Amino acid sequence: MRDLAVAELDDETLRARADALGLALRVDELRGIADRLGRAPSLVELYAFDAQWSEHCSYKSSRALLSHLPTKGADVVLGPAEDAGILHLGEHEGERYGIVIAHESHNHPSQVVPFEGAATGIGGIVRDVLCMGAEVVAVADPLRFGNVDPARPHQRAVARGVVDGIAAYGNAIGVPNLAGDCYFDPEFDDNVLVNVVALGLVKESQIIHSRVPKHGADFVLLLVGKATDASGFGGASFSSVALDARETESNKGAVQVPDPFLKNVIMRASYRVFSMLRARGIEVGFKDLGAGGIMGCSAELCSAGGFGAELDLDTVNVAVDHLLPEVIAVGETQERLLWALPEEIVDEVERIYNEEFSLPQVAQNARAVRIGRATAAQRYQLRHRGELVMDVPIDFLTGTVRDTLPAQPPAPPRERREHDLACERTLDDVLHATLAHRDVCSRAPLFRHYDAVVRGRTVIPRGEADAGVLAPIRGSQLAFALSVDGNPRIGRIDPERAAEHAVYEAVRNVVAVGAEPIGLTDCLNYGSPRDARQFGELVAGIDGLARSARALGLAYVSGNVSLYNAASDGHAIPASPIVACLGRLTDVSQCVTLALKEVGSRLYLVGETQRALGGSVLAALLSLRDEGVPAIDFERVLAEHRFLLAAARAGLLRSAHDISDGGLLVTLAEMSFACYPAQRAAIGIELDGLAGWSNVGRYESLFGEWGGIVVEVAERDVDRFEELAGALESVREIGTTIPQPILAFDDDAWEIDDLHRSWSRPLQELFP
Amino acid sequence: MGERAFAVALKIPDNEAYTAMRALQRLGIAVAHVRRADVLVFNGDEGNETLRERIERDETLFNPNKHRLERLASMQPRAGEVWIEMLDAPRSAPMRRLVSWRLFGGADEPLGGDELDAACVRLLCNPAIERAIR
Repeated sequence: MRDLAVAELDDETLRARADALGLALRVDELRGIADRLGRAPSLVELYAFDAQWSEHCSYKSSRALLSHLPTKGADVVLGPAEDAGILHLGEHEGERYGIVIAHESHNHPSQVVPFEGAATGIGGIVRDVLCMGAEVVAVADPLRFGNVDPARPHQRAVARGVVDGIAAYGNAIGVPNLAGDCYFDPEFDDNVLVNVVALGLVKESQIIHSRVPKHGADFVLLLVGKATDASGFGGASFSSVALDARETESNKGAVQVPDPFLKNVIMRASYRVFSMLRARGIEVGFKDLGAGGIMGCSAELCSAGGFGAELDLDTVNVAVDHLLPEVIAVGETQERLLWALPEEIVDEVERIYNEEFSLPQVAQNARAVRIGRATAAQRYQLRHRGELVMDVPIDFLTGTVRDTLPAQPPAPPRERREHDLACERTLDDVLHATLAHRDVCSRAPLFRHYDAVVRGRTVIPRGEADAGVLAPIRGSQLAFALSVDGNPRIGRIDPERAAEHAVYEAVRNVVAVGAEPIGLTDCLNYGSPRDARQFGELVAGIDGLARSARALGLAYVSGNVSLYNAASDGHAIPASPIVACLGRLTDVSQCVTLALKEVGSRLYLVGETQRALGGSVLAALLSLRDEGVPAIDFERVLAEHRFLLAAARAGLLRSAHDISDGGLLVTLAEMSFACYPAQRAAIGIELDGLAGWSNVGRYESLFGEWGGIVVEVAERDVDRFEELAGALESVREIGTTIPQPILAFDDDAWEIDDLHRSWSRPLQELFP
Repeated sequence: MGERAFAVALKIPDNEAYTAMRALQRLGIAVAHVRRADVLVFNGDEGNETLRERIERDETLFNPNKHRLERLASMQPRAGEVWIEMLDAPRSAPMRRLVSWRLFGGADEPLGGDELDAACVRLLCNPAIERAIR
């Protein structure tokens, strides 16, 4: 058996040998493994620990911090313990339905091979949802790209490749892309962020868990999907170190190859297996093969049920002969899942995949195949060519590995500065520049590549409201809304408040469509945990996520931590907590879109203006060194949201749109732009003078990103709306809709057509 | 210096080549292995190394994490190989982009002319928009 004589080597030699083998394990970790095993670990064992103890799999730096997040709540069916979390959607015809939600990152793979990396990001998250016994119904993609100006071909190629990859995979598997956001910032030049969210529908009585059931000793482990090859070998470790663009040879092993057409068949075959299992009332385990491949999945599936496992690697369906056992064990070939099944149904499940759905005809040597068993003994054992190549205590492999690392709290933001904004640029110039800014302009050129309506259950596709809305149960009025948000401009200034704003914006967007927020997921994209300053940003971010979620009465049910997002020179990305909020609509007919609906309506601002431009697009445009990020009064926000939801349910909101990137004038302009297709002519807006609705300056009022929501209320509903608002002081009338296609304010008036041109064009050349 | 050709092929598994192989087999063509590559044909005075560097710098053509680059010795497809070119591609362009399909039989021998013709007609080349170069 090939092994590494850890005990016989000094630290320097051991490090060199580990580097030569491509192992990211530290020297102290290597010695800890050898000590626990009491012998020289085999190479297969080392690669297994390398994957399983990577940051990506073990969360060794962040797990203790994540325990601060709220994870329980009235709508939580399953919190963050398995491949995905589940939130209660509602009841229909006596059945309780849950929405399965998972949130992941595929940042490093997407930087190295943009198309394949982004595509397999979708592929992986879809499996996380599928294995909970759910029908996959939607995906979403928040993206962070570098500077994509025409003189930056690398960054442009990455951005295009990512979007192409998402479209190619998502469209081919027939799952609508419902939500997402996109930012461009030079600090993502060397490390883009490609996060992905997937949603599934499941009856709460039919959830399948990512563990071998209690009575599952001797359950058969049935591998399903693509034949194992050398692609993706080293993926987990690769995701847990900083990228070096020059290391193309070492990077290539971590390249994962997508096959959405095979995935499409696997999904449908799995749905067929689900119905067979339900009909027979059989409890099983099912898990996605992600980081750590067959080893990671089988070890976690069995360990979570309190079992060990024994596998024979010779039974694994492979795409090429003579693969090394560590490659078969740990390689991250895509499109694979693992069942834990009682013996009596294994043949039937194999038949469904291999014959009824013909997996071997779809891709080379794809199939369902028995590869081992769950065992009562608490060992994790792998055999290859008759030899025991791995034999370790399973709790040592999958159990607690922790790093306690020093964190340096972020420096407090500098004081807010006073700006003499009036003399710098004209309002007209600033408005057009803001609308054309890459963080503000129309995202349609990007997301039009994605199928948003496939399967016919999308109610509001991306771009037509602040959140995507989908009614997943045929014949039911139940629907969910999804928004995914996070602002790297704030992350650069104040990591803690960036996390609070990510939660606030995601929740606000869901409320803006009239949906009740019911739960959150997060993806925490940060730099190296071994840099105290960068780790301090993660600590501050989690504090912000916890505080804001508690204030809004929401829990996190799923999430992901992506660290080491930095270039090889150690320069980290801006702190980038990205939050998804799921909302519930009990009557889908009550959802609210952002397009203005009629002339003569009143426009109300629900929210408070602030004199704080830190993190705003205006500050970026004017190069203002302002670090005064808007504060969030969550008590007031909660009251506003309750009021808005009551108003939506009463049918009083004709349209609604939140105030975020670019500020209030952008919000109003986008409400007007959005009525183009339906009305065939823009509805204009006359904005009242500041005195009636703001006590801060003109630029802070019009371009500040202090949150809030603008709503359109028909003239006939104004009394009811204001009565419902009652004593809520942060509800103020700010203008009216007018028949002229202009946006008017004080002595200025802009043609909606002109504004639309500035807003709609910037991304067209990048995503033709 | 005239025309030079480079092949950009995947060094990761090629699903498209596998799918093409399965489709050809179902069409009754005795193919056992298919390789696919982009063929870049340059017409100009630049040296081979300059052209190679140019390709390697252009991420729309080449990504070292997933591609390998090879200078082709001949401007003609090899035995068992066909190049497919779009009909509307300008022949005088400084760079032409074609797709190479190399088909092998059971003993890893290049496929013969008749079978290669059949593969072109039945799957690899749509004569309404493409032409096959043999």
